[in-house]
Amino acid sequence: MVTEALKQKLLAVEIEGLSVAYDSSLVLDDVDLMLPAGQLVAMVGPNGAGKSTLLRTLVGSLKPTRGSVRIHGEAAEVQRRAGQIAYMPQHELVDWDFPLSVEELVLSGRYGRIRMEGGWRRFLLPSMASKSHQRAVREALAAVDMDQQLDQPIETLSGGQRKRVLLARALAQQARLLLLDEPLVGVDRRSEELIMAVLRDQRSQGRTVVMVTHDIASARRDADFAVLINRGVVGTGDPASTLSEEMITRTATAAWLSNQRKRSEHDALEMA
Amino acid sequence: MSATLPGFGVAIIDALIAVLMLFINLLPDAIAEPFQYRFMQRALLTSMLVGAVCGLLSSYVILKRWSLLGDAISHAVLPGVAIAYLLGLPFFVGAFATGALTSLGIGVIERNSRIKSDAAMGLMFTAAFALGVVIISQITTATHLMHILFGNVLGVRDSALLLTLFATVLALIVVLLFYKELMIYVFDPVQARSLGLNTGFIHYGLILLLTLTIVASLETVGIILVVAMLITPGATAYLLVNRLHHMIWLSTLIGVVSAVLGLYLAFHFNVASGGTMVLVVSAFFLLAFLFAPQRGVVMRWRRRVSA
Repeated sequence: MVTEALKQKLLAVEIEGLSVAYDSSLVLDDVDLMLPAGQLVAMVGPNGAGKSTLLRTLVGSLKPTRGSVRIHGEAAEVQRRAGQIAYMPQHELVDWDFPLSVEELVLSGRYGRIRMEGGWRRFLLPSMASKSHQRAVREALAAVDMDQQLDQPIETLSGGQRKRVLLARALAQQARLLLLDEPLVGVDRRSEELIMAVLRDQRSQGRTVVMVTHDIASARRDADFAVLINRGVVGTGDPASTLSEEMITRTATAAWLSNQRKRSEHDALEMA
Repeated sequence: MSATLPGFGVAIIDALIAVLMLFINLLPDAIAEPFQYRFMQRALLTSMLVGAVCGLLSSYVILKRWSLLGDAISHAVLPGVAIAYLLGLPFFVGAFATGALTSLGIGVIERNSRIKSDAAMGLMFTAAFALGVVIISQITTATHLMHILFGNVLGVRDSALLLTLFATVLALIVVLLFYKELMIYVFDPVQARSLGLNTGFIHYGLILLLTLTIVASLETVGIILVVAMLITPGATAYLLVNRLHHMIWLSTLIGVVSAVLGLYLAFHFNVASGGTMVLVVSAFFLLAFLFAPQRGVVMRWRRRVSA
């Protein structure tokens, strides 16, 4: 018998009957999904399959229309408030003209912990954050090899540096669950290797790393666990079989067909 | 209205004016001269407060891309003012009510239809403004409604001055105590959610604070021009600095200096005070646009030529 405590230890994420609508169309429909704790999980699927939507539902920025999400055996919101869910967005979705330094951006990953300290300290300006927070920021930046650029304005960073700084913000949070949206898109070889090394290191520290990715080869090679998504979960399990050529082709074809169908319905409506 | 105010409100105004005069009296007589009049002292205090609160929030307006929202709220205030006038209520009660209702209405339209936010704002605020215009056309003897449209800092009443003071203090406290929450919400609302912050509360809290600021500034700069004080100081500072806290303090400073300088010039040349303040702040923006050390058009051109 699987006790609740054991389940908590083994599972990072439990999703049941989850439906999420975005712009009034259902992107995820009745999804059930369990993600193992302490592993590197790759989430793969065609464009518009709902990968980012699933991630943003876990983060809490999209509200499900139905279903439940539990993280580490607790309601997702409880884990968010406890600072246990770190998130790294696609870097194109961030306003890089925002007037922040590298250090300030990464320190914002600590805001949840600063708030949890309670008392009057939670109201202090970020520049007055205690040494422990500053140390966490420096360690996170050192891990992604960006600790020489603490004072640099974020608008002057290159694409790969932007990715690494966003990753450092997630690392600085020291959460049990890391949710990363396309951490490897648009970075050079060196940054890619560095990011993957950091993620493996996080896993070896017992954290769960969930990354959305387009890169099937890297998912097969680096992930411990794979999820293939196309508006619902098509398959889960070990990467080699879940992401086999046959499964990928079948999913891609299904996605292409459904897009074609939607397009022809759309055309029919246009003509009517 | 002023008769119903508690005495300590007037006492606070007198105390602040006394402090201001300590500094004014250090200036050469030629500059300090207009401020020997009681109405100019009150106007100076009001202008500084309006400049400060608008400048303070304008950094957030710029970074959150809420310029049109500010415009929308300021126009939506008009029917509230008119209705409050008909009912004999203080104008800011009605103004705050319709301003807040309109910003809620914009959100409702956005979430429940395919209409995007710019159109939702445009249609809500013009509808509200139209309602205001229609009601006002029924009111024949309403000279102070003109003040609300175009502002008149020289005739600001105690009630409006105290409201401005309240808005300024509240905005200052909120920005100081919740700097981190506001920063993370404006920069990356998804990250704010992942930390368990109540982004809906922050969103509407910020909008209500903006509405309060607009209402408090009405008698000083007027409905049509208040939005300039909420956009231009922040936009100017944005061109000059690279850190959020520098931007916030600089935009506050620009707001205060523009308001005071505008008041002084308006008195000197006997022209409309609200319009003069906006012209001054716009001049600051133009200077920054051309000559900002890193981002100024002229400076970049010079770098290109010398490179």
